[in-house]
Amino acid sequence: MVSKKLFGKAKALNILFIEDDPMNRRVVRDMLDVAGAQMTEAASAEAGLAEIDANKFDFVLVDLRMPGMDGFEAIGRIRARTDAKANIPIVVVTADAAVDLKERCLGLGADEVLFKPVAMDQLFDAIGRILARRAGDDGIIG
Amino acid sequence: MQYSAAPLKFLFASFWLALLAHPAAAQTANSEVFERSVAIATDNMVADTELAFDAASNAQALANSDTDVATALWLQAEALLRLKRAGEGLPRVVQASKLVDNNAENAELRGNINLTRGGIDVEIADIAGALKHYQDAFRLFQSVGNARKQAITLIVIAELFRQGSDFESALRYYQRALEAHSGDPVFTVSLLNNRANLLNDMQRFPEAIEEYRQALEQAKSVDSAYWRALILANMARSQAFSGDLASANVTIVQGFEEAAKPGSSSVIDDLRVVKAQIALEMGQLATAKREVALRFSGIDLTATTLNSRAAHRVAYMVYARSGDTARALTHLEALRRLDDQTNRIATSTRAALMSARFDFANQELRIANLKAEELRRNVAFERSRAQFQQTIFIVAALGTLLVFGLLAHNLIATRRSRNQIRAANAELEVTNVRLEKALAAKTEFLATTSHEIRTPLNGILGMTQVMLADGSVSGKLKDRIDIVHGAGLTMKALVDDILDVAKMETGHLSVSLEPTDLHATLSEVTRMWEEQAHAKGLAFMLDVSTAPRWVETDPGRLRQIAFNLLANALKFTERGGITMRVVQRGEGADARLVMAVRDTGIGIASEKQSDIFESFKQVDSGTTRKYGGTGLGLAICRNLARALGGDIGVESVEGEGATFTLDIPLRAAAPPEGIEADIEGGVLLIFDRNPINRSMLRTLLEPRAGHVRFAATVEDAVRALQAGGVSHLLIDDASVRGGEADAIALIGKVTSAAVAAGARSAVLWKAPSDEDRSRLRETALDVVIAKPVAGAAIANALFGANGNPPLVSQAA
Repeated sequence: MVSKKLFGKAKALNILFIEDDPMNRRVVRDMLDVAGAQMTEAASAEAGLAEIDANKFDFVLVDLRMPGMDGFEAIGRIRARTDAKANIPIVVVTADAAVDLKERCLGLGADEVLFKPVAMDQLFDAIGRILARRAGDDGIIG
Repeated sequence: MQYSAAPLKFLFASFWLALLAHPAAAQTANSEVFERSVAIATDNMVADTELAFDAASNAQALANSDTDVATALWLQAEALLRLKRAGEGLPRVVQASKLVDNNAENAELRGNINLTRGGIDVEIADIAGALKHYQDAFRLFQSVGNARKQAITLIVIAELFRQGSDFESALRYYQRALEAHSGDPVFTVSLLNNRANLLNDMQRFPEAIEEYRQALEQAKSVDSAYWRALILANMARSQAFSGDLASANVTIVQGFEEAAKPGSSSVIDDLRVVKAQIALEMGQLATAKREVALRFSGIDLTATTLNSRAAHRVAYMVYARSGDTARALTHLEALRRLDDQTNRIATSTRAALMSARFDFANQELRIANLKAEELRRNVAFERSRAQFQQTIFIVAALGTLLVFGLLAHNLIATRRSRNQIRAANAELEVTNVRLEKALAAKTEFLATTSHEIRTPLNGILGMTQVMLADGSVSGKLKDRIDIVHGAGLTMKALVDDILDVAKMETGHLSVSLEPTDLHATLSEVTRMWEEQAHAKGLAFMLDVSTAPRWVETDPGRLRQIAFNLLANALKFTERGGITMRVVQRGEGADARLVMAVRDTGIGIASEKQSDIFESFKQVDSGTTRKYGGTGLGLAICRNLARALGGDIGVESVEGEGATFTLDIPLRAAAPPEGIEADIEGGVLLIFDRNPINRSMLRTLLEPRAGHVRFAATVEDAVRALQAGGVSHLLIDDASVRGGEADAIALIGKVTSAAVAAGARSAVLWKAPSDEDRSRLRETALDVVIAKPVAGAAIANALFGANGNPPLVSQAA
């Protein structure tokens, strides 16, 4: 029923979600399914970075507070890569409401920051906005 | 045996001799030498702490009384604290306070002991203890009127709160320190500079810059290039953060000039970092890299201290921006190492401060309540006693001259009573301050708890949204999910409200002004309430026709106010209607934006009209039972209105309805660049089923279109076009492809409605074949845009490049 195509892309958006809480992973997976996007799960930042090494993703969603490596470091490590994957769009999804959190994430190189509870349309808006911005950068959609 | 001043020096030089030769002189000699040792310890505490410790140990051997021993022990502990041997200092201060604890004459010494003990507590991570001992020290210094020591104590308390990231409290203590002591200029300069640093950390840049300016002004009387350079470096950093790069540049040049003078070279490192930051912002990467390299030249990046945190951050950004990822990562790792350190300190400090203050506040709240009640009774009692005594005075004066004695007595008693009233009132004021503190602790607790509720809410609301978006859910099941979703939203609104109130009570409620499309903002809010009003059988009208379209305001906060007022109007109105009217009053600098929401509901009795703006108050508890809600909405609205520089009020006749009026200063704004003023009224309809596509297209096209609407099905699209107002239509082929019906036939249905509505239409079509093109041209489409396509090309095909009307041939 829902289009699986996005501006002539041959396949659906492939999104990696790095989040230790299984309930939140499930919620976001089902939300992305509504927009016809595919989600790969990583239950820790370390596992997420390994996924990025091994596969190609259109987007990374990442939680901040996780046991072991946290989301801040994960963002830093992605942005510090030396290949094209360093520029992968990153959306932070957090329940933390600290005053300067958003600025801190953006400063580290995140593209968007969402606060839980995440409204579905906010999630789609964030992804759509980044796609539009990147379209402005590269000049090409699809 | 008495000594004059001259032989004293001699005696000191050979006091052991004197002790051996004249046992009788030992007592007096001891006390002189003791004083001398104490002086050596005190004078060398900063410059040569080891020597100070030895002198203090010496003094202990010479001590004659408990007070002397306590003094010596305190000095040893202070020296040990400075030598980073706090653990050894602890038993000494504990013993010292035992020795003089009950001695009222030693308030100054007890203050010193408590101050040192607080410092040791911080080192051994007993933050609650530190807070208590600092507060004791402050009270003791206050009792002997030592303003300088009071100020020092307030500063260490401020530092404690700063470590716990409670910047507001830190700021308050700095303010009190400034008030307590304004004599010593160096002291004042360093205080102003520290406080400005704090404001900078809180991102209150204009205030920070102003504070640095004051510090510079004060620094004139100190004549120290070091201080001037340091303050200029800090000020430039705040200016850069606030986006004022031009001023930051001027300030940094002045800073380097000062740093070139003798005695201030240590500031150069700070100046380099700020210079790099400014250069980075201005896109001068080469300069930024050079300054960063100089700052860190010859430094081991894995062993830097907290002072280098800001420098690492700037270095990371500079290297990341210039593509030097290896160096960027090194600095990122250093930054993370230091961030971890700070976070660890802040988290443990903050948790301890919170629990200490919460306990403290709970006790204080109970005590303060009791005291307030007692004082209120005292005030009443003294007042009636004074009146009674005055009456007696008058009777006595009139009645007889025999009682001169009584007369005099009454005069004195009356005056004394008045003094007691005054004293009681003063104490009542102190009690009120304590109540305020207790309130702040409660608020912080609320904020933490509310935050914990958000995580499970994510699960509830997330899943209901997914279920509702799934077309296969319908009927009773959909109704039931709707109810869960509605309840979840109400709970989220409640948590948001509570957080807002918490922010309000602690002064954190913030507004950020930006150019705002007033008409779009308000029609967006009212759309939802309009539907609900109609569903309830009520009339609804929004009138913004005479209000300016672009204003400088906080759109989120304005939406929040409108949302709350409309929600209330709808909640309390059963018949009649609701009107929202927005107008401009006055011109120029005095212009006001007035938004009135009028309903024909149950109204509010005049004596209750001021109560409804207070937190947790509806007109009575029966209202809460009947209509629900927390009663927080109007309190938040009033605070928001005040934060926006205006206020909110109500006029009402009970049983006839109410009018809530928001009145705020009106600042006209120019529309942001890229938005053309002449497209007003035109609506772009995007026919696309995919929500992510919609958001992307909205972001790309909204700056050109002004208003954007969406349709997900052919029927939706046709209905929207028939409703009127649509000037442009964009169809994504994915929305019509893949079904049983022919895609191009479906497009034809929509485009014929577009022709009837006079709207220009375009389709995004993936790699169209010649046959596709000729068939598409047969529908009434104006433009066929072939995918893949550049983002800007879609806008140009629809709206024309640079404002020129588009040519069909460009894209078709």
